Amino acid sequence: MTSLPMVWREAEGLWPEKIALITDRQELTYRELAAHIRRLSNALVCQWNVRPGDVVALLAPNSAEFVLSYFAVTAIAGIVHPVDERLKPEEIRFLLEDSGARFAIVHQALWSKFSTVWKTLPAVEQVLAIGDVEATSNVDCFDTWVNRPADPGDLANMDMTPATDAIAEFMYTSGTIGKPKGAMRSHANARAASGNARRAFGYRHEDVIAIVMPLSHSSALVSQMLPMVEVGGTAVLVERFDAVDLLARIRDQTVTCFRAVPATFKMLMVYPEFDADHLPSLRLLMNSSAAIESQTHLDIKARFPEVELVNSYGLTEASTCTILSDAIAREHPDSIGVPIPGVEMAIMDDEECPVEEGLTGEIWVRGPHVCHGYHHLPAETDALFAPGGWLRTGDMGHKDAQGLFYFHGRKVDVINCGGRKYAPVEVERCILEFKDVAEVAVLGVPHRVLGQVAKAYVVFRDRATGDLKAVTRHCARSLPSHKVPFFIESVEALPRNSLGKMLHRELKRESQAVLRSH
Amino acid sequence: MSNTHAKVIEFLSGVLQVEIPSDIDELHRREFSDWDSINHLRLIMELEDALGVSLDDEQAADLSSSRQIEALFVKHGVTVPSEASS
Repeated sequence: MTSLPMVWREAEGLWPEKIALITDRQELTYRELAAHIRRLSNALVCQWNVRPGDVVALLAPNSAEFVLSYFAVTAIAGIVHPVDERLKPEEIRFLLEDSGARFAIVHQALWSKFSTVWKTLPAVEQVLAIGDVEATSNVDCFDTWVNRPADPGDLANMDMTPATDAIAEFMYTSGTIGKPKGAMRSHANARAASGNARRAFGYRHEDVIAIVMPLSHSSALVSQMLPMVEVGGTAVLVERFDAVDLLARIRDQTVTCFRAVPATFKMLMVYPEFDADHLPSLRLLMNSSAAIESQTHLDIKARFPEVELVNSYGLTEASTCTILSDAIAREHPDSIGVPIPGVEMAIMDDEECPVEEGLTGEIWVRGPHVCHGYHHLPAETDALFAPGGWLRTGDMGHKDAQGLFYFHGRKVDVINCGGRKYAPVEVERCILEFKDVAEVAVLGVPHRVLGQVAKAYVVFRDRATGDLKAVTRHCARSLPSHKVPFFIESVEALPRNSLGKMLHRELKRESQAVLRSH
Repeated sequence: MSNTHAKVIEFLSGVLQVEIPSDIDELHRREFSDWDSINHLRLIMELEDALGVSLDDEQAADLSSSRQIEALFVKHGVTVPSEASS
């Protein structure tokens, strides 16, 4: 395993004239990509004196500048800290303060958010602006750095090779259940995760991938962009998701594959043009971040009978662990699949012993893609790892007799009702059997006698006619008493983040506020 | 059998989601496995909700038969006149 700079250097050597990146504004060959990275790396060192281990925050939408910055920072053994562009200024401030970034590369689209909080971030010394921004001190121009001819000697010296175990990325968890934590991933971790994606998805040199998910997200970065550069494919970087625009890009750029969250697939299904007749170049669709509903899976397959539709399980701390192939998904749509070769997975009980097939426990993962821990959180890092290098994912699940894994939910979400523990997903599945219910989320709420009981938030297909009592009666008929929700509430919609993940913290906050008010 | 008693049986059947013969004279918790400790707590909660009252812990713990629930219904003015059910 080699460090990240070898990815683009090898691609430059093997396929210099192949198109590497396509954006709204430009196309870059691998030769051009490498040249730009070298100039940018050179400027980071010569202009800012960025040293190995320095953290450089990266605030940019999907763009060539994002990719160039990522590779330039890691090429000089810096640590890149990608920041989700959709965060609020205060959330951005928290992340930058937490990562200790001394430098920031900021796209004009995020400038107003960033400039709001920059004055409260004394650690951020220098900023590199992508595009047109208000000129202020300590702000340099990305285009100037990338286009300025550099001393050939300087550039030659830039081809350093960071150690494979050096930290390359701070990837922050999405914080669906608590404050985001910075997962520290080394060069080797990132490349191993990329290798997992190549083995699982079978990326090819001829592939053209449309990257719709934000590059600041682990999945887009190491399971889409990085493996695509490794195989010398082409990445079409989609800055903003727009269904009609994406369909046109897939058609015009002869895109062969893309990865998206279930909500994106659902939005595309609204358009009749999202089918094999209109988009004959597509060969592979990859679901990400949340389970895809069986019906949506079937609907997509009806539109694209020959296209492989796969799913995968992973987490920021261990990206891309399993693969659920199309064929297996037809028989076991609720499974997350099997471990990718090179990844070990186990289901463990509270005593840290393996549980029998079919029984629920915590999912543990081991492999070279597992991160090094959380930035400046030693206690959380200790808690993250079990003896033998196993990562405690904090996810609950089970394994069946065929070796297929199933995800039940987060361990912290497990409801302990009078000593009897169960995953909310068991109740959610039961409620979803009720035909009037479109969506549901179940979580544990405090109960003075039982410790915890289930509370269900139900989205009815028709809220006016939705009958909460009928839902409770359905649960009481189908579930043992400790799993029947004590509280049930009809809501307009469930809170989700931009990737479609349920924001349990929002529901918990809301339920606690309600309980306090009673 | 009073109509209020029939309403209590209907209430218990609804909360516990089991078929209870409508002509049953009295239903006691100890004779009925579905009326377990957790369902009892849920039943109390539903009862408080239906009657608009708050039962103290002793009252809640003592409540162990359909007759007691019927008495509670009557105490809080939930009665069903005979003609209402015909």
